[in-house]
Amino acid sequence: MSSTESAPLRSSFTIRGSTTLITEFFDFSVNNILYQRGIYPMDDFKTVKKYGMNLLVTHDEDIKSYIRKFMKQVHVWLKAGKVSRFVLVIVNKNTGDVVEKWQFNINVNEEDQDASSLNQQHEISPEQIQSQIQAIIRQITSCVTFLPNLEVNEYTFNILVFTDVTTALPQNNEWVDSSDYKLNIEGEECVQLKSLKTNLHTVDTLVSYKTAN
Amino acid sequence: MSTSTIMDSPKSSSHRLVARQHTNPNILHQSSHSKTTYKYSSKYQNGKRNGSPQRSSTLSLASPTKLNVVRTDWSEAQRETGTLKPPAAPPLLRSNSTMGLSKTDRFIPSTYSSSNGKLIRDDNELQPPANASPSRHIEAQNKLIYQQTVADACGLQMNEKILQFRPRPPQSKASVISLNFKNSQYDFKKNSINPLRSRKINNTPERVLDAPDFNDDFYLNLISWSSANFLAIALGCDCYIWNASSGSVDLLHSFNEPITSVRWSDDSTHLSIGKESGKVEIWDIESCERVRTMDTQSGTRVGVQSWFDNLVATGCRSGEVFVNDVRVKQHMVNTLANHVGEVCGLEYRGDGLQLASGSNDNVVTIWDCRSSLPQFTKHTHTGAVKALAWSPDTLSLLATGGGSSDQKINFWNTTTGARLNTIDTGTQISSLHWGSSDCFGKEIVATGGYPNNAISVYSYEHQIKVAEIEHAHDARIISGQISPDGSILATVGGDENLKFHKIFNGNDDLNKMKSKRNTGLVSGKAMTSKIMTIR
Repeated sequence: MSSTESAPLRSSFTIRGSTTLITEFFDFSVNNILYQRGIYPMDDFKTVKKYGMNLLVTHDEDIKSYIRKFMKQVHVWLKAGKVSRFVLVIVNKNTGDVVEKWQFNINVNEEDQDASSLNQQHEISPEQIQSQIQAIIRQITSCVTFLPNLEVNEYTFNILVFTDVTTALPQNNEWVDSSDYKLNIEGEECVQLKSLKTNLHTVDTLVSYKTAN
Repeated sequence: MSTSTIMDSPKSSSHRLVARQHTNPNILHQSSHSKTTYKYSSKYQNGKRNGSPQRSSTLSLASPTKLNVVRTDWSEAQRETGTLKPPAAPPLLRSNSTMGLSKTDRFIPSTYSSSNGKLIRDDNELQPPANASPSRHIEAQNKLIYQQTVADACGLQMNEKILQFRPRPPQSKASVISLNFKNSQYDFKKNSINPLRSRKINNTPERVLDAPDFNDDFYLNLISWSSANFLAIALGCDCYIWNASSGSVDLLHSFNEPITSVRWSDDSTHLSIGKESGKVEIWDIESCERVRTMDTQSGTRVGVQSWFDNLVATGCRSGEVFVNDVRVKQHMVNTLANHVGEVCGLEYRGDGLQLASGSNDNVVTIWDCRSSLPQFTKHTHTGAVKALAWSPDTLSLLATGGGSSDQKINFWNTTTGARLNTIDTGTQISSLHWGSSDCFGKEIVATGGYPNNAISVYSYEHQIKVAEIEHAHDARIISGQISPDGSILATVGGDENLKFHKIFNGNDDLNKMKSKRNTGLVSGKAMTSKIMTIR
C-alpha cells in the first residue's frame, strides 16, 4: 500500500493515520465522558457534528487546552506503539478515591500490519470505522443509565497511560510514573463496550464503577 | 521459550548495548541464546556450580576492570558471599551473564536504571549470584513466576508502567457560578410552589401617618430617614421631623416657598433642605437652627440631594448637579453638567468615589468623583430615572428604576459599565431599596404607581417578584425611604399618607435597635393601621 507520507492522514492503515484516528476517538470520548458524568457543567459544552452524530465537546479554553495537552503526548506514544492502555479515572475531589474508570485497551494488530499492505480485502473502510466509533460513543452515553449518580462538583478526573517500561518521560515534568496508582475500586463492576478496530489497532473500551453497596 | 517473558526487554537490550561496546560477536550470540534458554541455562549453571566461589562469567566477558569495580561496589550478593577479590575471569563461561551486566554497569548511562529503578531492585532481590545454592535459585525463580502470576491475575503486566498526567484538571469557570445558580434555582423552584409562605410580608402597614399638603410631584424627594432614626418630611412649605423612636413630631420650620427636597447628612446631625428658588439650607437638628444657606445660582428648584461627608450634591431642574462643600464659603466645588432634563435621582456610592445621577431626560450618569467627569452615561431607560440604589454589600452594583414610560429596573456594574440585568416591573418606579431575606437572599424593594400603587419586592438573583403589597396607597407612591436598620419602608403617596411597612428583617447588628424602635412604636401610640395626623 501507499507509504505513510502520501497516504491520507485518516487512513486507518498507516500508523500515522490509525493513531490520529484513535487519538481523535479518545478526544471525543473524553469530552463525552466529562459531559455525561457531569464532571463539568453543561454550560461548558457545545454540540459539534462528528462521526455523523452530534457530539458534545467543551468550549471552555482551560479544559480544552488541558485535554489537548495530554492528548498530544498520548498521540506521540501511540504512534511509537508504546501505549497499551489509556485510562480516564474519575476521582472524588475530597477523598481522592477512584469511583469510576474508563479504560481503553489498545492492541496492535501485528499480523495485520503485514497483511493489510498486501491484502486489500481486509481493509476496514472509513465508514466501518465511523460506525464503530458511533456505536462506542452511543454506548458511553447510554452508560449513564446504569452508572451510579455522581454528585455535582464533587468529582474530578485523572488521565493514566499504561506504557511499556522503556517509555521515557517527557521533559516537561507533566507526566509522572505512578505505577502505584490505586486503580482498584472497591466492589467494582465492569462493563465491556464495543471495540474499535482499525487496520492496525484494536481498542477495547471498558468502564468500571463502584456498585451501589 | 516460555521463560523469555520473564526476561525484561530492557535487560536484553542493555545487554546488547554492552556487548556492542566490546564488539565481541560471541557475546551477541550469547545474549540471544541466553535470552531464549534462560531457565535452562541458569538452572544448569546453578546445578553445576553449586557453591562455587567462582565469579560469574559476565565479568570476564566484559572489560574486567570496569565491570569488576562495579560489581564489588554495588552487588549486595557479592558482599554477602564475601567475594570482593578481583575476578578470576575464566573465559567464556556462560551463565546468568545478562543479569550481571544489566544491573551493574554504572558506566552505561542511566537510561535503563532511571526509567525503571523498581525493576532493578527486584532483580537484586530475585536473582541470587551464580554461586548461591540451588535452592536459592529455585526459590528466586519461583518468586519470579509467582509475581508474574499475581501480576497477571491483577491485570497488570510486569513490563508495563503507568504514567499519570500530572497537571490537575482545570476548574470550570462556569461551575461555581452556575452551580450556585442551579442550586438556587432549585431552591426557587421549591419555593415557587408556595412563594407566599416562604416570603411573607405583612400587607397591613405598621403605622400610617397623615401627610396633608404633600406635594404630589414625582420629581421631588420630600422625605428622608436619618441614621439616627429621624424622618424628615416636607409638606408644602413646612418641614417636619418625626422621631421614629419616640413617635413625636416637631415642626422644624415653615418656609415662605415650597420645599422641593430634603436630605439628611450621613451623620444625621444636619438636614439640607432644597427649595423652589434653587437655594439649599443646612439645618442643625440639635439646635433646630439654620446653619447656612447656599445658593446654587441656577435659579431652578433643587429636586434631589445626596450627602457624602461634607459634600452635598444637589440636582437642579436645569439638569446640572452642583457639588457643595458645606464647610467653605465658596461652597460650590464642582458643577456636573451632563443632563438636559431635571435631575430627580442622585446618590453617592458608599465610599464616595462615584455618584449616580438620574434625570428626566431618561439618562443615568455615573460620575467619577475624583475627576468629576461622567464615567458612564446610560441611555437604557425610556423614562425619568428617579430611583437609584447602590448595593450595600457590593460596591459597584447599582440599581436604577425608570419612570412611567419605562417601568424597568436595571442593574449595573459601575466599574465596567455593564448592564447586569433588567426587571420589567410594569409600573413606574419611584424608589428602590436593597434588602435581604433568608429565603431569597439579596432583594430589592420598589415602590410603584399606576395601576396597583404597590410595594414590590424582587429577588435580585432570580429576577422575579417574590412579594408584593398591592394598593399600599390609594394613589401613586412618590417616595420611599428605608429605616436605618433596613427593615421598615416608609412610603408617601399622592393620597397624602405616610405609611410604614415592614419589608425586611433588618440587619442582625441592628436587631436590637429595631426591637427598641418597635417597642418605641408600641409604647408610643401603639396601634397599627390607625391613622394619625401629624398636625
